[in-house]
Amino acid sequence: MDSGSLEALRSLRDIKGIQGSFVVRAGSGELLGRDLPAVIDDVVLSGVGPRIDRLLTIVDSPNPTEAIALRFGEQRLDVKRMGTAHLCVLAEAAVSPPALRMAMKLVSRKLDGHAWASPPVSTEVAPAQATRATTEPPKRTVQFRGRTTTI
Amino acid sequence: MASENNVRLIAPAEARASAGFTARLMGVTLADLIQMKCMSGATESIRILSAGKLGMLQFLKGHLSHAATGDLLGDRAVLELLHWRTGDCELFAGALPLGSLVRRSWQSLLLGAAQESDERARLRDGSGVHESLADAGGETPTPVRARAVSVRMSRDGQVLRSVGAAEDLAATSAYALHMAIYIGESLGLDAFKGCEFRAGDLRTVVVLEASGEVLAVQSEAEADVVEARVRIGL
Repeated sequence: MDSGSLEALRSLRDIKGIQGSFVVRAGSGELLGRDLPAVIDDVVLSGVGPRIDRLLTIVDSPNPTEAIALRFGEQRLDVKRMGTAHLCVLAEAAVSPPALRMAMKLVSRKLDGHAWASPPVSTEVAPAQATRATTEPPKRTVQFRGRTTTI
Repeated sequence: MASENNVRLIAPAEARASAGFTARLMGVTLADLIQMKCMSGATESIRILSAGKLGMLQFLKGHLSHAATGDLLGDRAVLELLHWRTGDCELFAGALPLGSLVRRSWQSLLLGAAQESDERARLRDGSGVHESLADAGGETPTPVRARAVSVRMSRDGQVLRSVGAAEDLAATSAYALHMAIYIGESLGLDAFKGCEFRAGDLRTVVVLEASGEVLAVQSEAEADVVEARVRIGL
């Protein structure tokens, strides 16, 4: 995440009650950037990201889910869908909801046009592909109506 | 609204023993009663019983200061009480030191309740609105849109009651509950209380109650979900 995007995330903490934020990629939940206390490490966020991404897809509606607010005791986690990523904000329950919404709106506007780096391309063969490769019969060359063809 | 209501007034025993009339008024609405008490500058409490539900209104020198029913307090409780059609009212002199939770003026509340009532009637006539979400929650609001659905489930996902076609909502809520608890535990947060999803105009609120039951309400109307949202403090 570049310094401008990180600065945008940091600006969320100007709102009293906001404890931190992070961004995950839409579709995979991969962690793209964070501004959170060190006690929440990247391993935790890499497990949480895909769940958050899935939560945004479960409501059956003509329109996609744009936002989710989750309440946990004295804390809340708000998620806002951007173009290709989701902005997640952790806050105290006592945070001002209108101020939180406005802050998330402004930051998501800044981050929305951001071209997130593509995930590293795996050089390993996916299990499904590998299985298919081993079960497919070997190709062979045959003569058909006087022409050589491969089937 | 007035023609449908029928509130019976019961004066308390101590009032009957003292000077003044004991009244039994048929066809009086709660709106009439609120208006009467506010305009007379009364300091009184009224206990309202309707279809097994209990409500309370309190007046302080003609100001509607406090109201409660179920989990609702203040303005939302007044609006809910004003939709009750029949019942018994018991009047008590004086007011308890409950503080003032009613923010809006009584005129504004009566107007708001009348508008809500009109909208419900219009939608009921036009689109066959569901009878009530209360069957699913006991204290959930009456839906004002035909798409409103509600479901109450046990923690393990067994549907206990529902209003409307709630199969999808039940599945969504059960899944959301598991995901949300996982997310909360991973991040070291407190116990999960509930969540809200916004998709266009559609609002879905899932509440994990202290009893362990799960209440979910889905509607395009804010009025349908506002109480569930308040319960989880969002």
